[in-house]
Amino acid sequence: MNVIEAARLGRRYRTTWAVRDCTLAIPAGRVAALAGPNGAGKTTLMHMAVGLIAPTEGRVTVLGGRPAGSREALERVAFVAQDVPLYRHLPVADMMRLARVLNAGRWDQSRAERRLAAMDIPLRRKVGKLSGGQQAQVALTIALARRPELLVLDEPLAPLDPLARHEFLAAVMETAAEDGTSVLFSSHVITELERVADYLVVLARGRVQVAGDVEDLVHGHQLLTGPADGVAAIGSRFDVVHAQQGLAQAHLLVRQRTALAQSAQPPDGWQAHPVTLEEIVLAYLREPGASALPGPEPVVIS
Amino acid sequence: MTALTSAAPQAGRWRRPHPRRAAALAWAVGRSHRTTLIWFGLWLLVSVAGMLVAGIQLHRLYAAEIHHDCLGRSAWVGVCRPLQTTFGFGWPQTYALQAILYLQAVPVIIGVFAGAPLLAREYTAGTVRFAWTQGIGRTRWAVATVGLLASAVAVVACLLGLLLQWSLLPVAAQTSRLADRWEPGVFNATPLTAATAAVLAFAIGVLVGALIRRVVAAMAVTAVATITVANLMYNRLHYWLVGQGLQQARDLAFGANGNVGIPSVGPIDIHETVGRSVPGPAGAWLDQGWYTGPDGHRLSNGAVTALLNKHAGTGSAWLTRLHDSFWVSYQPAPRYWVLQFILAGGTLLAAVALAVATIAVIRHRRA
Repeated sequence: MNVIEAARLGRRYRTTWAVRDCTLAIPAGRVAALAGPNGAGKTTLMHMAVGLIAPTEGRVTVLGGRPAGSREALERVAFVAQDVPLYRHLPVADMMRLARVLNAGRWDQSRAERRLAAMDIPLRRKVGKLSGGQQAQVALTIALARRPELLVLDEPLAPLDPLARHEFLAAVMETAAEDGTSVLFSSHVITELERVADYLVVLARGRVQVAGDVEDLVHGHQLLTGPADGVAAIGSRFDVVHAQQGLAQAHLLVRQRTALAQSAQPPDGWQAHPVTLEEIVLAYLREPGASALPGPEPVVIS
Repeated sequence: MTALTSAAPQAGRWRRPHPRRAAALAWAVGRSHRTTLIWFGLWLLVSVAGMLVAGIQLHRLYAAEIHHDCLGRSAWVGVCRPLQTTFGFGWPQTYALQAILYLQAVPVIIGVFAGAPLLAREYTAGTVRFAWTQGIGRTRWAVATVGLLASAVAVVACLLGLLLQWSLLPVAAQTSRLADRWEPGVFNATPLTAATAAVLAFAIGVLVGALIRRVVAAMAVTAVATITVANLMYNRLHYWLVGQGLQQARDLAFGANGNVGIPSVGPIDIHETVGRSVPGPAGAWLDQGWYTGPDGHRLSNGAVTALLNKHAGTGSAWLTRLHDSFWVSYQPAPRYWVLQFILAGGTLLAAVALAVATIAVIRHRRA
């Protein structure tokens, strides 16, 4: 089952397309990271997945074909928005009670109470008086207490300090492991993505640039270092995602699509190095024209 | 005649929530809008207290008048004099006019301060992105929020209408203008019409807030819209095409009443001047008047003015002498409640239409 399926999905704001021709299938049971530069369409894609906005074209379904935003989808999908929009004038306890009323049927009160106690969040304090990190924790607590099958988090780490980030992600991972919850979260903090994500989606200019298992992506890419005058020969053998060329030496991040290609030795004079997820993401972000999808489009090296 | 029928609810699609669930939802709506509710509670308290104090005072004075047998006495003497002077020229008259005016303003206050910010504030604060992604779904959330608060608005306005009618009773009993229940300010401020007018203003505010999504701008537009609607609804009974009665007022010349001028063209709009002094059936609402000559044809307004000037101060005997007639069109007294229900029903229908439009906006526009 796929937790999110998008087919030729597009959303236009006046004359600008925020997301266009987006086809995507994120399998269930994964912690999927959504990366991309500012304005790539991450938030728009997430908002369409949780039913906050309707697509201009195409369609998006969640949890095995349920229309995004339908009642049956909303009951099973929890969303934490980028700026954590909670009712700031409510005390935490009332905010929790409100969430319980709005999610009757699936609400796990003991989980909510445990988390808040563990986070040492005062129940009587108004949400607006909490720190940014505590507000994010309250929002996450509400999302987790709904016992969702899919948890969608839009830039959840932005307002958090390093320790809070660690605790936030630990809570997400714990839930994913305990309940088998699928997670989709967007973030600019690539090191954090690498630590928790096992599936990666990179968006650029409103289109899906990379989608796949993190492990496959890491194994399927290499960093080749060799003489600058040998770049053309490499380009004919590998899909070059990003090239960094000096006068004497060149560094090429290449993609090897098949297992055969992955086991192949680098050409003479070239050295192969394994790459991290961060390097892969950065390479793709630098080359919005490249893609790692079924049907890749390697960069043309001039 | 229109028959009202009730349709069976569609099974499964829109289940009625369990009472405990409904109570919890009511708590949720009340809690998330508590600040607004507190302000409105204070406003209601002050309004109710003011009208209660004034009403109790008026009823006491009225009881004293009855006790001393002052009612109906033309000569203001003895113990009746101060009582009758107070009712005739004192604060009760001021209170009556101010209270009627205040009740006309109640829908505007509700539309601007309760309706307009309701959704506009949620959009501004971004809390729609929380509320609309919860299991309840945005449609149920909107129906619960708007429905419960509209019900509260109706109860509040109904209470104020009831208080107005009660507190005005002693004044109305001694003031011909207020004694007429068709008087626009009184007709529009019964518990029924006040409640529906407030609900309509609330619905206007909510829709404007959903469309504009900015609190102050929504409040400003709502103020203009609700004042316009209030003006359109005020004193418009004569537009209602519900079969009017027609009566020949043989022994009365309405134009002789100094309160009404004869227009240069067209019939006399009697509905602008009401009270016991005008001709027509008892308790009826008079609409228009005109004169006819001996041949039954309508007299020109110029001719009527000339006749009235010629026979000024001589009563209406000239009508019979010249074989002229004065006609009035009117709504008979029993139609009062029909027209009350028509006004209230039409207003409520408009409010429901706006609420449906609001739900459509919520369903189809992005958060």
